[in-house]
Amino acid sequence: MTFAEDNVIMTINKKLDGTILEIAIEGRLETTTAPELEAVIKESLDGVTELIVNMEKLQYISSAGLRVLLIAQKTMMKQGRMVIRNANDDIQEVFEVTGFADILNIE
Amino acid sequence: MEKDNLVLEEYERLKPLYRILERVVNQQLTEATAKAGVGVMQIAHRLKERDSVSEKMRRKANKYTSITDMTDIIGFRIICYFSDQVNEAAKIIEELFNVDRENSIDKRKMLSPNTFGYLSLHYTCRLFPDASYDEELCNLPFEIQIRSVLQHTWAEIEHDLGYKSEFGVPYHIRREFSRIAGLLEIADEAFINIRNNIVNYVDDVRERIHHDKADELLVDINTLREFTKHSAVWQELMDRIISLSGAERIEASPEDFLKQLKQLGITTLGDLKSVVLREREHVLLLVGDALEYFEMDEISSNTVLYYLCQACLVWGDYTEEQAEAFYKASEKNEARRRSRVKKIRKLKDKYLNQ
Repeated sequence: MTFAEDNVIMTINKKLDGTILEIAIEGRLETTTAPELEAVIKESLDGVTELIVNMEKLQYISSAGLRVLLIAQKTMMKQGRMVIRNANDDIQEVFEVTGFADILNIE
Repeated sequence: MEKDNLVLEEYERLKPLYRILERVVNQQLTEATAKAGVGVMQIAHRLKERDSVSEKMRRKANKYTSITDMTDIIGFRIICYFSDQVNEAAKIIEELFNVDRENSIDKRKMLSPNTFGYLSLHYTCRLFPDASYDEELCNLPFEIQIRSVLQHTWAEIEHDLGYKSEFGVPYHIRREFSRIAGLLEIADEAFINIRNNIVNYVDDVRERIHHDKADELLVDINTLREFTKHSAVWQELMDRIISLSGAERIEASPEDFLKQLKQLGITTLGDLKSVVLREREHVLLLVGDALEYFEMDEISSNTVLYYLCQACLVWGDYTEEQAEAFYKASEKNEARRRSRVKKIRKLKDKYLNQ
């Protein structure tokens, strides 16, 4: 799935393996694209016990994106767990600066 | 007996109204004490059960002809941290509710100067007549007790040990209770003293920071908080970052950075000021970099402290091993530590090894 608006592009790829769902986000997770990620996560979490958010190709994140991660984390805490994988050093730094590193499960 | 039954019937009839009263008073008390900033540890409340009502009528035969003669069907207890806050809470209650002076007791003034014991303020109140409440609701009395946490401790233990037993208590036990009451009264005063000393210390720190005379003060949670709120060099840096990022300033407690500053050898506010002056342009560079991958819409002093530490590690005289040691002191997660050290290496490559 690709969401494009002006120059803002984000791609979301979903892979379901049993009850493990991996969502790979590519590009920019910001005000205009975050609602799309929220919608995708919301419609896909039924029966999921582990949500892996793969950030290998994520280049940019805004507070709107962080909020979506927080919502997903809260949902998954009731039915399993959520892990953030492959965040690059810059995105990792964002989690640290904002205090999200202490809230999210980052591998 | 017949009269008691009538009172109990009245209790059952009015019980739903008492529940409403309990809710209304609780909300008003909670909101008013929070708004006034009184240090309230707890507001407890209860509706007296039918059995307790019955037992009280038995104990005080012929005293009650109506349930509203019993003023503590609804009871509130406000427990304040400090004994001087009892008076602050009392003032709020006097403004908030219609206080029945005749039935209110300041038990703190009932003890003679040479005795020590139960200290608490008891108010009997009603709601002020208000168009939004039934008249019947406004006629129901309720009781509010106000104590400090230490006064509460004493009263609860006294109650738990059954000190008020009708069978009497030996002299030496009564004396022990009095001694403890005296001790707690002194402790209450001592806590007020400590609190006032902290307030005075913080005021003094703030004053010295304002006049740029705080260089020799050691970095601790109070001095760091005041520095990040009031230091001119810090404000200037914050303003430049806000103007660069368009972020909104928010407040956050900087205590997490105490260890990191110590690790960098920053032990006094003078050290911190020098580092800010030395590294401020570098901090702005790092924030500018971060804006490439992060939309900062809120910024706190902690964000600035984060980039200040990072600037020290990149432009300061620190080896990679020292950077590792720095993060080891403040970060337990090994992956995160590695990521931070890698980031420092990348920044050094970008800015120093061109």
